[in-house]
Amino acid sequence: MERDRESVGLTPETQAILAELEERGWFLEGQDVARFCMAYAIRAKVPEGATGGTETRWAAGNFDKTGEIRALLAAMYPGCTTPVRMMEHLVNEGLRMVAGRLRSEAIGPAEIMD
Amino acid sequence: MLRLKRLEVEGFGPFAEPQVLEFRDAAGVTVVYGENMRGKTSLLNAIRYAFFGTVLGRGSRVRRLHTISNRDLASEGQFGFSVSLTFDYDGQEYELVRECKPTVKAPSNDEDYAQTVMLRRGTSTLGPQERERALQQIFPKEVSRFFLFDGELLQEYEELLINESEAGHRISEAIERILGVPILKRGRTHLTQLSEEADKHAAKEASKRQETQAIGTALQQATEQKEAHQKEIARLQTQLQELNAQRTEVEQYLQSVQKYASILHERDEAGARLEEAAKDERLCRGDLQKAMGEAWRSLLREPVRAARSAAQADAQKELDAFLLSLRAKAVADGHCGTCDQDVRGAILDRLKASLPEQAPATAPSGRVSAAMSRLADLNKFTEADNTGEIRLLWKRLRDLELEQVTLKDRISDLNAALADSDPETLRRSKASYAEVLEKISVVKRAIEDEGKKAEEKDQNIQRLKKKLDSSGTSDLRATQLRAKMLRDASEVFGAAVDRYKANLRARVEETSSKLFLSMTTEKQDFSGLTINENYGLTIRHRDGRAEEARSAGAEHVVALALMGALQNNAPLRGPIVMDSPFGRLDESHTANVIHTLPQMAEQVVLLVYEAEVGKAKMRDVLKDRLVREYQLERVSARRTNVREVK
Repeated sequence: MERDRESVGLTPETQAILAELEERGWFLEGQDVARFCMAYAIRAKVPEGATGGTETRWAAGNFDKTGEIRALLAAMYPGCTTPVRMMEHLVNEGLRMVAGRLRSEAIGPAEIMD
Repeated sequence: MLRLKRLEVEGFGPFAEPQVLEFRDAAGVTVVYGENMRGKTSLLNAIRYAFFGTVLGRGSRVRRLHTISNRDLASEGQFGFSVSLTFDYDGQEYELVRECKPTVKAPSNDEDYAQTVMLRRGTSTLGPQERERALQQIFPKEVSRFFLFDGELLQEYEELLINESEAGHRISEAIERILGVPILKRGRTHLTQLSEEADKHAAKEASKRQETQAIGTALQQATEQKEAHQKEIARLQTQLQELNAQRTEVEQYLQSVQKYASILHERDEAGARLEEAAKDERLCRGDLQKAMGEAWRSLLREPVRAARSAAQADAQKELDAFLLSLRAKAVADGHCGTCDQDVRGAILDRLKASLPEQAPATAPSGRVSAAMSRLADLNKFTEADNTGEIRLLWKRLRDLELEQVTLKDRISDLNAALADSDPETLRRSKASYAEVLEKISVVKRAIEDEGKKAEEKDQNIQRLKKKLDSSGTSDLRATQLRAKMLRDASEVFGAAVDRYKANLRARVEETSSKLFLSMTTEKQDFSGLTINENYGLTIRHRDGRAEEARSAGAEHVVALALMGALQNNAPLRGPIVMDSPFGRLDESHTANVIHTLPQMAEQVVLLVYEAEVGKAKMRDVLKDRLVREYQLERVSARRTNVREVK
């Protein structure tokens, strides 16, 4: 059985995207951006997968203190056996998706949630 | 006569690089076209700066030299400017160069600059004293208003109609100055002084003779006392003049800063609101960030609800299948494992009937179903929806950002308007104004008192003189006669001054009427202008009555007529340089004024923007009296070049 990760990491590309989104001042810290983008990806039904070439950013325990996210992923992706890896994948995918939308549309945080 | 030949400016206002205007040696009008902000007023000011070292802004307020440097060059650290003016005066060529250079690397006020002036006559450069004397003779500052003016200065001539106005008095004095009246006035003063000297001499001679000694001594004493009072009056009058000048200066300053005070107030208010908006923005951003920290829950609310419904449906299916398998087992075993009782008869039949034809083969597993497990996981998720809150906060944040941008723009505009202000001088001026007014009132009272005393002494002198005349000897009479002749001559000069002024007024009235009728569009109704004691002009209707209600445009035409009339009747002649003088005039008046310009002075330089008068119209109206045209061309917002229009 594949071993799960213990932390959530970002690729150089998503690292830059995170900085770009933080620059907007909508979020207090990077983890909030990451959680938002992960949720965006889940809502967009991003399929199960994994992102390679990441560099550690947040410990999984800190990123999901209450365990809600892991429970959620277990429910939404029943076949997934590596929830932290999945969490990381969703964060990276979500960052790309949100950045793509913000680059093409002049919208605010409320509009992107619609 | 003064005639401009060449003007070169560098670093002055919008003229960063050296720019040259050559004026043709022919009677007529030179026109300089330029849009707003291109530097028309700067050209007028460059001529003023060359002659007097001062630059005027709005309200005829003297501008700080630090603000004159080209802003583009100043932003690169290059401050300072220079103006070179070549002109002819009484058949000789002069070159006047005035430079203003910084004495420190980064100047911030006028004290950080040094000015140098050079005046060349022919081939020789004049020394400082000779230079100032020559400039005062060529172009006295007091009369410059009749040569260099704009629409705003023209409006001041309305003051001439108000007899009591201080400004009217000043202008009236300047008019007499350009018309040469002070020369005659000085002649009369000189003769009066000589007659008084002769009186003193006669009194002295009388005091030497035994028979007239007592009267002579008394006369001598009375004359000396009168002289002392007159000297005191003269001293007080000089003091009053200085105080009035101070008052005018402070009044003008306070008038100009009144505008600044309101700008300052508005800027402070805008600054306070900006700070408040920035604080509100910080708070609002904090609230937004807090809300955005939980926004992931809002994003997942619907997907989780959908997943929960699906899991619930799956769990229900699994429960139904489990119950079915229990019933099937009870039918097959004839015994229910759940209640541990045998199943027979009617109950067995009913159970059989409730089973589908293909009864599930699987036995009940007894494990927690996957759907239930999913549902349990999904129920761990704390549902929230703060989209509405985020929408409101975002809108508020955008409004606050926009408000700050607007406020910053406004503050920047207000700061630009305050560039010439000096809060320290404002404070000092306010304090000194009351002091000056008090001093003026004291000095006026003192003059009145001294005048009364001098009059008393004079009456005494006249009495003593009469006595002396009746008891004088023949050689004393000769001295007395000399004094009398000088007194009579002084009176003749006094009468001559009045006559000359009356003649001048008549000539100014006649010339200004001619010019006015040439410029007005109401020729059929008006017969001319009537001049008053102060050189104020009123429009005369053909029915002989004065036109009481005059429009702003009519005032403008009257003022221009006065300018032309003064030029035509003054011993001092020179060019007229006008900056945008058509602002209050309609098209027909504008055309008439342009047509009349060559009659106003031999050399006219007209600074206009093309919306006022286009090139085609200018050429059509002036024809061969249009001697040269220049265009002020925009290089950037802070740079202008001068190009001759061929």
